[in-house]
Amino acid sequence: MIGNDLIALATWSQGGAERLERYRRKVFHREERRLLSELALPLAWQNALGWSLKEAAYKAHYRQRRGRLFAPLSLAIKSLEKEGSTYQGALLIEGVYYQLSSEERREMLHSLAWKAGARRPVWRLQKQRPGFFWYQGKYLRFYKDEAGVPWVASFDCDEQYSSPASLSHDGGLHAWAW
Amino acid sequence: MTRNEIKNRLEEIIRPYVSKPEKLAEMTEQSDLLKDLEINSAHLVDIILDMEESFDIEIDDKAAEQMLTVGQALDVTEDLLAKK
Repeated sequence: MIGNDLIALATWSQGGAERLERYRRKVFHREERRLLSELALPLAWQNALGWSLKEAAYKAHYRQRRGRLFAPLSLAIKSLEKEGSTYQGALLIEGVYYQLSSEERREMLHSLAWKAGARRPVWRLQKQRPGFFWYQGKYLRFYKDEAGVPWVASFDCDEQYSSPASLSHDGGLHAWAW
Repeated sequence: MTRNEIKNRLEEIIRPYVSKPEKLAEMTEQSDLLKDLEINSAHLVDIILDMEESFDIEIDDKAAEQMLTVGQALDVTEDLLAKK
């Protein structure tokens, strides 16, 4: 299972130091706060990065769940490191590990989460909602099922294959991951 | 504070995080904060922090988990105000 999350950094909540600290304590465990602090980012960006990673993992884990549970402390980021221009890590939720990756592109922060050991997802940023791509010689079409769960259908030699996808939008842009 | 007064104050708290103002005009107690009002999930924490400041309450994890709709946010606020 995969999940993604897109944040427009320009609209990310700033606020004073006290508010940013209150935000941290609502969303992150003590160990997570330590991991984020070691990245030497401004406090607001630490919060954005941590939230985005948790949101991506939440979407991956609860893909089929209807409704939504607000419980950021039920997820725990276990490792987080900067590797080049990206951030890589791992997260634990209900005994299941997810791999994490986040990167900044065009003033947007985009995060991916996928089940540990599975294929790393691919993602694309689009201005328009309809998700159509040519990818590795195949035509891909993104859609949501009746429950609102996103999928990608690929067409190959008249056959259609569907596999899980994830959609996130912010700041007028849409990020598709599959 | 009446439920309607809480609702009016909550509407002002939510307003900056609603990207389409027309969604706020259609807001009812059944409105889902994310799906109906189209609030980005990243701003849920902002709304909780704003509610805490505005109503002088503390919304813990368990209470926050119950706040999926406007009506549920009002229930949580009413409950916490009654305990003050």
